[in-house]
Amino acid sequence: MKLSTITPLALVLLTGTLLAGCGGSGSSEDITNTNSSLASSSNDNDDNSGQNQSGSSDDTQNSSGQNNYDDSDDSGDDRDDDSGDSDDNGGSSTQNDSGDGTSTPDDNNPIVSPGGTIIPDGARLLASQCFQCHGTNGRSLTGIDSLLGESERELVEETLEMKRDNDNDLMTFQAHGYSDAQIRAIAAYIAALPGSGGGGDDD
Amino acid sequence: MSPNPLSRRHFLKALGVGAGIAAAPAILRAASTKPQVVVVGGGFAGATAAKYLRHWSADVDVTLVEPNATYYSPILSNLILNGQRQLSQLQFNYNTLAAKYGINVVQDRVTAVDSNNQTITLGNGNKLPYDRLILAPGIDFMPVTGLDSSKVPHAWKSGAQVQQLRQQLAAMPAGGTFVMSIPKAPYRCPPGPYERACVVADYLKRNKPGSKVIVLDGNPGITVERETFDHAFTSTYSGIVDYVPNADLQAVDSERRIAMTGFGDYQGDVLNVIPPHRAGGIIHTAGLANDASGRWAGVNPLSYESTAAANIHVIGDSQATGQPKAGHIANAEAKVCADAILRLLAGGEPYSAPVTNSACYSPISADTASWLTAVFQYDAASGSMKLVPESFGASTSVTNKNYRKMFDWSGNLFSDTFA
Repeated sequence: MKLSTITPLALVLLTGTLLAGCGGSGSSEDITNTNSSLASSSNDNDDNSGQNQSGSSDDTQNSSGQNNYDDSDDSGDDRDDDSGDSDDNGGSSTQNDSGDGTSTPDDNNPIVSPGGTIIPDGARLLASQCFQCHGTNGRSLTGIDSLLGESERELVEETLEMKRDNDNDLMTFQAHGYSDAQIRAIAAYIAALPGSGGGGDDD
Repeated sequence: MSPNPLSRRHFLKALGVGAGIAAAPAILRAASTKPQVVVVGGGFAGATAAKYLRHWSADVDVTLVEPNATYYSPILSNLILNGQRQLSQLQFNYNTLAAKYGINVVQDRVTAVDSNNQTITLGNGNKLPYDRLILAPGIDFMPVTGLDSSKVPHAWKSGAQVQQLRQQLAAMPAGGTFVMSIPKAPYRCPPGPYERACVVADYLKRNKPGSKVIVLDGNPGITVERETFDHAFTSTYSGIVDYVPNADLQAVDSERRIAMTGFGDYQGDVLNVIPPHRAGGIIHTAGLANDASGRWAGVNPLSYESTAAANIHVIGDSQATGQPKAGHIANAEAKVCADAILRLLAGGEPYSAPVTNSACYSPISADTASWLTAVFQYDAASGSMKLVPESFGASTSVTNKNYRKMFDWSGNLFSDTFA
């Protein structure tokens, strides 16, 4: 599709326009999403792509919107369980207030979780370490559970429970590799991503 | 430090039409004020780094340089040997990274790195400038006396080599002998060679009765999942697998398919020699292979920035942090590197406590598998990634459930990397 040859200048122009218009970021990715063909020759990947494409509608919506500081407009079924109850996570809030210290807040760089937790420094990176198995942004495309859609409290409680377990399970070992604070940071980040907050109680 | 919109617009005006008609300069200046990150190598490490730089930030331009249009995953590739997967099911391209993430994909090789002027030279002679360079070239093989891998396949980079080994096994007579040689650690995919021995033993048991598998291990013993593989070799495949530790490979007769070791010569109807590894060629060309062995690139594990050259990062199998060399953790390292680069480009510091993890499923037969997992935390005192002991574990049984989960794991890993 020759995108590689036209992309740099086109992207700059488009991004520049949007930046001037709304002062946000994350725009160029959103735009390219709408053109996404997700072509792949692999069967597995074809499956994935289809689901990915539906998943990317969140992003597409946002490209027509403004800043993405608050992603609560992303999904109508948001926050049934956890919204409004900002004490949901009680002591799980951390004191760190620096976000990841760099990026402009947007879909993938949220600054506060629906439960009111300020996303701690490093949360984006820590959470991304779950995505090898659970899918990008915690949206699984296979039989492995999605993390996206679970509430912050569920993610914390389930992972801490695995940490107390002693069975021969891969996730039990994984849970033992993280501190409680890291688990809370990961949960806050994932719960703040667009498409989260379905409030699913599945495990 | 993302430049404010006004200055960027001003720049674009100043740029005018000039960018559109620039006549093939030797140095390809990007028509952008954004920082330029160039990623070399489109395997699990490089593809993930390119993707996540753009997934997390619109304020950076990313170019991925990879000589091949198609990538064949080494993960699951042993299943080609027993016919459970076709090569076409393990192939990926870079179209999604380009279309969905706006990554500029350049199909070419890199012949030189100029760390002073911050450019790389492509095979076509053009130069690409970078603000940050990520090298993810995977592994190269060290020479072995007499070894001709076009006749004696390594099948340790996926694609044609795996297909060739598959064909040799399919053509092997019943009652024949399959000989394989495992290099000394560190090598790519620690359980991989033992997994291969099991998968091939299972295939021969079902299809070539009376055949043998001789495993010549350059290591003093099974390097990972010892209980799993020991049980497989001595029980599941009892009478088929002959495991020989400390079998240091000295030379190969590629015509007659003989592996020569300190314990004597082993001739196979099919011979599979996985040669010792070192970092991909560009690491050596660029003078970055500065670890004690001279084979791998020393890096700061907070950012994977080379300890030999500023603004150059090395991720995946080529780097020397001591984490396993495998696709899953290469993806993990790539995210640490991408996050660090975005923070550095914004005038910040890398996150001070990165965590990575390793997980992998190994087929033990055509319908069973095992797993292995670990978490690594940064240790500030030693400046290194350290295994968290309680996180290190393996399956206690080899099951069909694990076999099915293996495809759930790999499916999400593939998509987190390439889509």
